[in-house]
Amino acid sequence: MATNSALAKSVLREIQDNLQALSFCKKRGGGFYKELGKDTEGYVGLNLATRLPNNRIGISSIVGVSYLPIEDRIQKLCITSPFLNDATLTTAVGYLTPEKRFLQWVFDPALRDIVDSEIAKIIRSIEQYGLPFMQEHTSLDSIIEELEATRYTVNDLRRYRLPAAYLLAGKRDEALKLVGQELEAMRGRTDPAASQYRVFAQALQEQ
Amino acid sequence: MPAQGLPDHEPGQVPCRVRLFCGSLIISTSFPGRARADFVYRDADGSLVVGEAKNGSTAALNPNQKSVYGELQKGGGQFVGGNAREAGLPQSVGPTQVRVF
Repeated sequence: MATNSALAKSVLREIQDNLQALSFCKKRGGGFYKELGKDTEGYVGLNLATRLPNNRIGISSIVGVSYLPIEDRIQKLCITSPFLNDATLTTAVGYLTPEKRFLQWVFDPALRDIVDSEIAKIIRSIEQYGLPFMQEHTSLDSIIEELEATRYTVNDLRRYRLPAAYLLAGKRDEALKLVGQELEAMRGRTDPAASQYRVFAQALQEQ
Repeated sequence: MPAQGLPDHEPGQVPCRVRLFCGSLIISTSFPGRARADFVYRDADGSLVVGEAKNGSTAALNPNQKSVYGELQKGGGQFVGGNAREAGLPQSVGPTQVRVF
């Protein structure tokens, strides 16, 4: 029986090969990126669960888009990156399927003969639901629309990306207003996340 | 091995609009250290919530989890490791809710 670690490695390698066939390249600390246009890259991340019963592993794919001018602007405004990757919008691919729920594909070391077919399902979900999602979000307007609605993001990420997007769209007043609201909401906080945001906010206000 | 769904609403409650963001990730706090959480989801307001799954009537948070999650709820913390990175989580978060299911 294969070990959990060996199974994970072989499954991830196989997925990587399949993603490369779709023009995704592994870079910047682990994720897979595909150029969509001058300013946008598609993103695929793989979430690996290794502590499942019976030595099984679980894989869920995260899809997203990186709008490079937004990410570059944030990097310039921060001393250290506030994010663990530079995907501007992300979602687990399962939420894009008709079922609209989190999906995790489970691999069992005792059932090696169906590994390939399960990997094919992961890749198909990315092709069928992830790629159209990426293509729909190649414009700044579409990114702003999602960030304003807090879709495919969370508040901790949105408070950086939406003001940066507003600046790029020439909406400086809206950027300043949002940053002001966020600063007010974290008044009195002394944790590292709040300190980091104040640095970003000050740099943005001085732009 | 069909695709396995994870809960998208809290047991015993009316389904709410939560979205799982990341499974099995490490959380680090200034004190006392690290814990591996089962998953992180976003609630209907867009806030991150750390979820810990416990099975059985005697299952409970261990002392390390109690300390780390207590600190995370009071003073925030950091997400560490590959799964958090792949999901695109923030490096640091402020005081963050923890739910045990």
